[in-house]
Amino acid sequence: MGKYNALNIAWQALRGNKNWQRAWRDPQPKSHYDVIIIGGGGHGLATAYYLAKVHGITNVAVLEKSWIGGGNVGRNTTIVRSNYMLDGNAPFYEMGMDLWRTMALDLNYNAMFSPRGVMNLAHSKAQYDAFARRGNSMCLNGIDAVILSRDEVLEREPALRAADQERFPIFGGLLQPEAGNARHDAVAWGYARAADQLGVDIIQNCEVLDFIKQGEEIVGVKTNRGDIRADKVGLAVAGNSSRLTSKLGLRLPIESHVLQAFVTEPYKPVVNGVVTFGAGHFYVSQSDKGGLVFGGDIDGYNTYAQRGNLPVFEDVISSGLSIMPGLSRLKLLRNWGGIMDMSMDGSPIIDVGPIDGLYLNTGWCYGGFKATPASGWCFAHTIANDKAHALNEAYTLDRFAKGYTIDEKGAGPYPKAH
Amino acid sequence: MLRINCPHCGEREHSEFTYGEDANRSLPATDASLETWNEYVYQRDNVAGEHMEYWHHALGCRTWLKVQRNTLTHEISWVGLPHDMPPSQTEAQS
Amino acid sequence: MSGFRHGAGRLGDKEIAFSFDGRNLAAREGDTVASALVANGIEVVGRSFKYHRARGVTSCGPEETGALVTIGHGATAEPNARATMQLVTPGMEVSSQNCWPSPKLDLLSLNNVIGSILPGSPFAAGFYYKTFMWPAKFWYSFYEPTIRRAAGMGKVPTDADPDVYDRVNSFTDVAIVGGGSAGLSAALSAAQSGLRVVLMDEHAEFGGQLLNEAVNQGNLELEQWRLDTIAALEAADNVTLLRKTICWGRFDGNTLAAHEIVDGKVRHNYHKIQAKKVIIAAGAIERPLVFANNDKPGVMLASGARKMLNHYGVAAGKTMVVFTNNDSAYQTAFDYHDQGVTVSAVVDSRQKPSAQLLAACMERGIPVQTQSVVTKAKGWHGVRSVAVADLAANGQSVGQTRSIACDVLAHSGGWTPQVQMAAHGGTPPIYDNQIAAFVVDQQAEDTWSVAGAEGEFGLHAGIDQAVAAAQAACQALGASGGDISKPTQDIAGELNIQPLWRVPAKGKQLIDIQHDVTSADIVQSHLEGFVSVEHMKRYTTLGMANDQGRTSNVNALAIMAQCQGQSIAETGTTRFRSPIAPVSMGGIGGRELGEHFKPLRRTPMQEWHERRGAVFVETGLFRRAQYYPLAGETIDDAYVRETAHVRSKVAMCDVSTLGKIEIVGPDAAEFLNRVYINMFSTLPVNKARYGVMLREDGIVFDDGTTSRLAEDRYFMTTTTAKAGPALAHMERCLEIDWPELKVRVSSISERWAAMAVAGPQARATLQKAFPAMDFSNEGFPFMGVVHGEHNGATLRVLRLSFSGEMAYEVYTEADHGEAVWQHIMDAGADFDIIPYGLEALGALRIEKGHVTGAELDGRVTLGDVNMEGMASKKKWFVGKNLMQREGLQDAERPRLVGLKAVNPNEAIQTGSILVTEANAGAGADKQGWVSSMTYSPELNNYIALGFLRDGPNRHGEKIYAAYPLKGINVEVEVVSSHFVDPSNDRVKG
Repeated sequence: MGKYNALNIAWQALRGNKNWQRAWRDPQPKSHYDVIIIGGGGHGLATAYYLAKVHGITNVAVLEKSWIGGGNVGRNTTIVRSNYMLDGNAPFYEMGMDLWRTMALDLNYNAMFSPRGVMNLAHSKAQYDAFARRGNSMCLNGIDAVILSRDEVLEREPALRAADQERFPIFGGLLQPEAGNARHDAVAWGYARAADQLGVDIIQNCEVLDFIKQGEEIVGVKTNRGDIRADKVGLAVAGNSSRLTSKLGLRLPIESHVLQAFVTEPYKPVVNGVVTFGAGHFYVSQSDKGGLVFGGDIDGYNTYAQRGNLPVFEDVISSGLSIMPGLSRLKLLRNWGGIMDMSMDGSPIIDVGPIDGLYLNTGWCYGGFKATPASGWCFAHTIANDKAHALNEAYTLDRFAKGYTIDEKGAGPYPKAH
Repeated sequence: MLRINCPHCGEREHSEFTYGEDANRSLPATDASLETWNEYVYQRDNVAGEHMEYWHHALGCRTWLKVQRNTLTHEISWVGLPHDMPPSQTEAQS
Repeated sequence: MSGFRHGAGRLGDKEIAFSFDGRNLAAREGDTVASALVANGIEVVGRSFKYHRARGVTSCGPEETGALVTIGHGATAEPNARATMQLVTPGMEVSSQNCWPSPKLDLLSLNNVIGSILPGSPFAAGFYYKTFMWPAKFWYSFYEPTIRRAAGMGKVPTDADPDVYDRVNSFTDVAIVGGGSAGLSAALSAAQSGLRVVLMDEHAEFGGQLLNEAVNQGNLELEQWRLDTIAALEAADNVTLLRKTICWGRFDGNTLAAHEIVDGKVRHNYHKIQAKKVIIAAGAIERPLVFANNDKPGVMLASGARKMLNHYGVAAGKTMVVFTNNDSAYQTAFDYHDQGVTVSAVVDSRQKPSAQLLAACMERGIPVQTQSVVTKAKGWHGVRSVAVADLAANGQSVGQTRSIACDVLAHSGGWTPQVQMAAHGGTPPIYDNQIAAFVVDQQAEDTWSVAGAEGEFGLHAGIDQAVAAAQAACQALGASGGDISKPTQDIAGELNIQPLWRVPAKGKQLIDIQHDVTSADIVQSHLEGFVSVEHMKRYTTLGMANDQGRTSNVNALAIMAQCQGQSIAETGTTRFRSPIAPVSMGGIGGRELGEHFKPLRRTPMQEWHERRGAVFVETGLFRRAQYYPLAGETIDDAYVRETAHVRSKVAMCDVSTLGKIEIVGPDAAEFLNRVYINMFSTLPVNKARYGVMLREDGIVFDDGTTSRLAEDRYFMTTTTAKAGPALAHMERCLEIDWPELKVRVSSISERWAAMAVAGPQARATLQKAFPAMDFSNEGFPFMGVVHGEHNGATLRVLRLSFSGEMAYEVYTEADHGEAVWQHIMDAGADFDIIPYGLEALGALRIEKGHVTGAELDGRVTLGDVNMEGMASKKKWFVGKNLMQREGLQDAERPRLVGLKAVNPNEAIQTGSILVTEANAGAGADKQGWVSSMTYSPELNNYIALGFLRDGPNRHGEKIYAAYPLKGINVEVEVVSSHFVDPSNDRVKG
């Protein structure tokens, strides 16, 4: 398994591209692992990678019920940012930014992280002030933040000009210049390949049917490919967390909701960075291929079906056209839905327990993609040390019972509102 | 789109309604323990399959409705008022 | 391809002018851009996505992979239009895309040259994941911008779209998707039931594959059947016919979404059709064969070439070769030959095509080369010859090649039923060996897929299926569909296909012609372990272009299956997503854009404020008067003046945006006791009380004043922002949690106008305005409620104060709002009354230490705002339990304080973070924040409200309000939040 580089590509091309090796092996499951990670999505694969790389734990299996990267890491709008206000969140996401910046070289896989900036539009002084509080908080947490005047906003994104006199004139904006986008699938594949090279077994088409318990302790899992035992079992199954923990009689502070996302046909560059609309549910960026990738609010009802419905579909597009009327003549190419484990305060859970042998990584709402590296890194630390790292110590399961919720939006215990 | 047969207004379209919450929960006693209240406010079954839930006919008669809907298929099998029960459960209890 | 206008086809002879890349050309009315370009002999119409290879017209339908063009220019340009689906209109400007300087000479085609010299392309599947990594900064600063410029197709208009779009909601009994022979038949059958029927087709003309047939002696009856059927449907008033309408998605509950291209003022209608039953007669799409340079202009799908000739009267070239693995393409050879175009050969990969077809070729003198394949299309810009070779018996290799000259190659790799619609929200389709394609496995509820869409290609058989489905649909609705007469002539449906998934020869064999995905990419992605179909699709980007894989998916899956040594059925398909074809965003947005997106809410006095020259500010859906500037005044001048005016004289503010809720019933008092933290059952009639509500989690939800109008009747006000949520919350509590309470709650927000009259002269003003009412301190004490009437308007006056001055809130019916407002202004003239805006309202309440949404941000507890003492210990209320949690009682929580700038003229910025060090930077200890600020004319000092860790115990301490976003640090003194009149004497005066 060679390293990927330009020379290697040229060499393979000279040989007709017929000698490429598998990016990751296709091993049979062993009967025992030190750690099993359930879920071959971004978070699960990143966790396995950091377990091997940082903690030297390489006897690890990632069990994926279908194909890796098929969940939310492959169905999102690829936004990477750390523009959080609250202290429970900010350092965690900012540490993730460092991992994003070095990811390509670290993994020897170009996940195409591009710091093209994430800009939140404010349409009133009150909104601007709320952004200022967030931005000032970011600055004091060492996160890059810039407050923008209306003119500065329009200069960065001329496509907003046409809407400026419309229903919601632009007042200003908050920019995180170092935030941006990455190529979502490549994140999963890059972590998979790098973890595999460190000895991690990535086992696809392996569905966990139940847990194996010895007394009160979890000692393995039953799968459609047989029983697999492990000292520690980590759960990283966004969109399916409650379904799996229900097998343990464990209820979670989570509801599963669908978030729709959209992409247009490819066009020449028109949107430079990531833009979020402050008066409607809409955020947009443009992929390297040229498609405008955008989304809005969740549909707002519990669901496990990966498809949404027209009311939100229409609302997202109306919002988008209200802020960028030039997009009206563009054509929508594809719409899809991903299932979000919406937590009760909008923040995730990375924690030990509550059952011995079990480790939880869940509740990412619709912000899981950007968290992939930090989540993997912290979850690996938590599993390896049976204790949270300082960066994820606020993400406990019992914070709800204790009253230490991390409610970035102030929306309360209503998952659909986060 | 979801269409909900409101007992007061008849079948109406999705956008008239707002999703409320899981209808399997019931308000604890006022003096119930913190743990019970925490369970009530924060913990969910979050089932994949038949789900009893509340919807608010916000842009209609403003009644809160109890709806049985499948979270895997979105199919709605029953709609009633908050203290009604679907026929199958009524029979089971009688 | 050197196509030319050959005859009339079904078009008339009316000529219209259009232009392509600035060249003036002629088209016939009814031509698509594609047929018109081919008629004018234009071969290269654009360049491909990745390799910038030359692209020409490949079809006559929605499956078009080559001819994507830009129509028009400026704000009305439509980039990426499929030339095959766009009718030419007089004067239409058509431009090529993705090429510079011209489609024929495109400098970015260098990618292609490099890729062609080497045995394999360095730009093959996934190449960008493997390079451009070092140095890390170069990706964003250099490589990526280069890639971005090269990628993308058409250019985006940046101006607002001047066209109008409509959303159309409709209900129907039977919706039929696809207006070919099957769809027309189903519609006619269903029409006879009397039920409501909608028939839609994406083309300008109904007929589907029937339009591929020549209008000649032999087909007259068939053509007449088509026309008669359409005429019958047009005559039926229970049938809606939608032409140029692409049904692009099926959502829950059989909701169909469709875009109709409209000629007229409206550009597109977006139809949302609620259908009880759906018949999918969307037909099938021809697949390309996979050989080298199969994307070269001049290579066309056989059915496309046939429709080009028979329907548009345009010959796709002067000399044709047909390449096929099934029977269907022979008719293309026959029609071209019979209409005088040379057909040099039919190359058939099968060993033994049927004797009947061979005889028909022999009769015409068309040579048939069986067990043969085209290995490569040759020519510079367009096809000039093809290399043909014998195919080994095992299908794994080819022999020596021979060359056949031609300028159009019509090919057919079989037919793919359009199963996308059926698969939306339904079960995945299954592979059918008979036709070598996927078909619908289990029909979704209330849905029938018929004819070509279900893999039945015979004319009569398809019509029979369609009619049976229509009858079943009608029957399920308690009606009966009729019988219809079929055309006498049948068209055989057997393909006798022998799959040839790729020609076993070298060269660039395109699978996904739009995205330049080759068979080698698919093989490579398999080698690299991307063995799931979804992985292959994502790794190679196959099927992700405008055509959504219509022509490429099955071929790709077959090649994958070969690599894996398993059947196509085992390989499966990727998931089908809407929209089925790209549709305009404008259509979906409809007219709910701009000011119709979230319509502005106006108060009853809005026009008065406008006339008075108020400056407005966005507050939710309202635009409220922020201040009323005098000539030359800045916002700061104005609000400071208005604030001081309230404190010294009298002024009036429009507070109609407050939520107003009426609570009625014998248990109203008990109900309020439960939703508010403080007691309301003890409130006397005609008294008001300030109340606070919590959420179930113990966090402050909203505050407001509620007055008791009668034993069983209360009038509640909420904040503007929480008017809706508070009502929904109370309705929820009553209906779900406490059905035993006999209470009704109703929003009366829009029914009542509200105005706050505040200042030392407030009493005098109102007494003068409403002399019949008693405004004396004895008759109308603080927190009292008095009722009155003025010129037919009901008056409900509450003596409340948000400003801290003697103040009254006057409520009246919305219709009388402006009149009462004006009346008070007139009465107050003697006392020098002025209106004051939201900015002064804010200044007054900050001076007084009252909290609003800026403070109650969904995270604060009662303790945080120093209101824990208000919570009743005698009763239970919502939020009482969970507010006891450790985290909500934590002594470290920031609590409300007042902040006073040490330098009185230095503004404290809202959104600042409170720190103890000057010039705080990263890592500083954040001890709180500033929630709202103002200049206080009373104190002649900038002041603010904020939250500070252990704040109430730190009065007198000097700290900093840091605003590092702008490098601002303001030294502030921590003080009580009650800046003005802390003993509250003025309000009681």
